[in-house]
Amino acid sequence: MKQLIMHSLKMHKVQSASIAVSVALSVMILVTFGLVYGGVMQGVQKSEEQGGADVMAIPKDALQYIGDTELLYTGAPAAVYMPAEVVDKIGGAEGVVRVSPQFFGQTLNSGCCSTTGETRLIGIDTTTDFVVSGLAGADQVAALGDHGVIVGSAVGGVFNNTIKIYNEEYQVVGTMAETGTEFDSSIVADIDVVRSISRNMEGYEHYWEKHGDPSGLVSCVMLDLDDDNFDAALTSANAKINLSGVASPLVRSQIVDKSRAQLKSVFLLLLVAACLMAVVALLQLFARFFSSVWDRKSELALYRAIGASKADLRKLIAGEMGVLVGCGIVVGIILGFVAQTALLGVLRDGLSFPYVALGPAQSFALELAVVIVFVLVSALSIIWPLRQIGRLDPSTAMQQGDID
Amino acid sequence: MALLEVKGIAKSFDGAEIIRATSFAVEPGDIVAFTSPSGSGKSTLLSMAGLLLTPDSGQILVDGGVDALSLDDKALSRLRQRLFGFVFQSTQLVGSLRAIENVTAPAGFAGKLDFDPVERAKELLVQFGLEERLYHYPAQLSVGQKRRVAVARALLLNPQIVIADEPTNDLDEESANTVADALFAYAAQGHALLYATHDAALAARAKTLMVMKDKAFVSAS
Ligand SMILES: Nc1ncnc2c1ncn2[C@@H]1O[C@H](COP(=O)(O)OP(=O)(O)OP(=O)(O)O)[C@@H](O)[C@H]1O
Ligand SMILES: [Mg+2]
Repeated sequence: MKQLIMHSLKMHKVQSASIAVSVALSVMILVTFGLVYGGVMQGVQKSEEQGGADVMAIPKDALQYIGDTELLYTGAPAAVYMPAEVVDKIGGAEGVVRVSPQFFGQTLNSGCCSTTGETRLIGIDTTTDFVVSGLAGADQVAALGDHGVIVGSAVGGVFNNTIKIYNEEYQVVGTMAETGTEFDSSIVADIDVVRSISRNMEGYEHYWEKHGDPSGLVSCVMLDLDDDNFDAALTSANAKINLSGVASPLVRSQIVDKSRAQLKSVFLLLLVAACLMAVVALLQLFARFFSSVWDRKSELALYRAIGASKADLRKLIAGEMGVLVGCGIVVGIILGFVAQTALLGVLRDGLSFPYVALGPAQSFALELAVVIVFVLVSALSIIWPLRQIGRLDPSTAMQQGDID
Repeated sequence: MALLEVKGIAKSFDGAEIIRATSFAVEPGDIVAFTSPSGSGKSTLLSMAGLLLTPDSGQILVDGGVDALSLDDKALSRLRQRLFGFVFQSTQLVGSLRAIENVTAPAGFAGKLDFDPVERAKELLVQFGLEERLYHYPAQLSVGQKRRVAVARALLLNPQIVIADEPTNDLDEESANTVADALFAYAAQGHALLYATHDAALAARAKTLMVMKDKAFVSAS
C-alpha cells in the first residue's frame, strides 16, 4: 500500500508539490500570525499588569519627534528635556498618588560601553520612583547609590555583576522583570548619575545650551493616580500638566487602546489572509483528490477486483493526502517560526507595542490547534472523493479496456 | 468439498436478460471452459462467479457452504483475494506501473504474507520468459508479453481458482501456448481454472466444457 501511495505521489509530482506548498504556506501564515498575535497580546497584558505610570508628562514638543506609543513602549528613546520645576507643579494635583521624574540619557552601544546592542540609559529619582521599583524591587532601587545600576531583562554585557559605561564601572544591583518593551534593554541609574554622564557627552552640548544644565532638567514625569477616583484624578492631572506650560500628558490607557486598535486591523488582515490561504488549500486538496479518484477510476476498480476493499482504497487515497498535508504542516510550522521574526520586524517598523514571546507550552498549543484545523480541513475536502470510491464497480475490470 | 458452488445465478442489464439461471460447481483440479458467441455473456458469467458482479438471483457458495453474496465488503474483498486470481480480457495492467509492480500490486492489499511478493513476482515473470522485461512499462511490452504479466499477477497470491477471460485472444500460436500452458500447469497443482474462449482447441483442453443454451450455460457432455 505504501508503495502504491508513493507511486501516486510520484505520478502527480507537480500537483503534489503545489498542494504541499500551499498547505505549508497557509500553516506558516497561521503559525506566524498566532505566535505574533499571542506575543503581542501577552506583552500588552503584561504591561498593563505591571502598571507603572497611569499618566506620563512629557515635554510639550516631544511628540514632534516621537510617537506616543513609542514613548510608552520603548522606554526612553529620545533626548527630550524640560525644567525640573514641572515635577512640583504637577505633584499637587488632586488624586495623584505618586509622582516621579526620569531623565533620559543617551543610547549606549558597544563602542562606548560593555553593553551589547543598543542600550538606553535612564535616570530615576530613587526617593520617589515607583516604576522601576515595581519591576526590580524597592530595595534594589534604594541600593542604587552613585555607582549602582539596575538592568533590563535583555541587557547584555554584564561581567562579574558589573557593567562598564564610559570607562566607569557600575555595580549591577538588580534586574527588572521582562516587560516586552524596549525597557528590557535599558539601564537604570540614579538620576544625578545619568545627568552627570550626559553633561559631558559629546554632541549633547546644544541641548544644554537650549535647556540649561542637566541638573535642572527632567525628561518625563511619571504619575500614579488614585484608582478609586480615576476619572476625576485623570482630569485634574491632565489639567495640571497642561497648565505647567512645558508638558503634555500621555494617558497610558488611551495609548494602550490606540495601539490595540492599530494592531487589531493588522491582525484582522493577517487572519483574513490566513483563512483565504486555508480555503485555497482546501479547494486544491478537494480538486486534486476528486479528479484523482475520477482519473484513476479504472485503476481503482482493478484494485477492487484484485482484492482491495473499499476501506483499503480509502486508506490509499487518505494516505496520499496524509503525506501531502503532513509534509505541508511540518514545513509550514518551521517556516512559521522563521517568519515570526520577519513579521515582528515589519510590524515594529510602523508600530510600537510590547512583545513577550510565547513560551514552549503555548507555542505547542498553537501548533496543535493549527494541526487540528488542517486535519479537519483536509478531512472535509476528502469526504466527497472518498464517497466516490464506494461507487466503484469491480466488475468494470472485466469489461473495459486498458488502464493508462 | 466444492471450492465454489454456483446455484442458479442470472443477470439482466437494463431489462435485457443476459444470463439465465446457470449452475455449476468447482472442485480442486477442475478445469472448466466457457464458450459462446461474442457478446452473449461469458465475461458477465465469469464476473459473477468471481464475485466481482452481483447476480440478480441465485446463490454462490464458497468454502463448502458459506453464502458469499451475504458477506460485507471487507469480508468479500478478502475472500476474492484469497480465492481468485483474474486474467482479464483486456489485460488491465496499470500503465504507470512497471511490469513487476503490476504483478506485485495485489500484495499491496493482502496484509502480511508468508512470502516475499517481489521474489515471487520475479520467479513468475522469469518462468514466463520475461526476465528481460521486469522493469518495463506496459506500453513497452507486446500484447503477448502483457498477457503473461497479467497471468503472473493473477498467480501472485496463489489463488485457489484462476478465472481467465479469453486469455489467448489476440496472441500468435506460440504466445498463446505459453500463456495457456502456464494456466494449465497451475491448475495441475491442485487449483481450479475457469476460462472463457472462442478457440476450439483451447476449449478442448478443459475437463468440463460449458456451452450456452437458451441463455444459460450448461455442460456440453
Ligand atoms: N455493465 C453492463 N451494463 C450493460 N450491459 C452490459 C454490461 N456488461 C455487459 N453488458 C452486456 O451484456 C452482454 C454480454 O456481455 P459480455 O461481455 O458478458 O459478453 P462476452 O460473451 O464476454 O462477449 P465477448 O466474447 O465479446 O467478450 C453484452 O451485450 C454487453 O453489452
Ligand atoms: Mg467477454
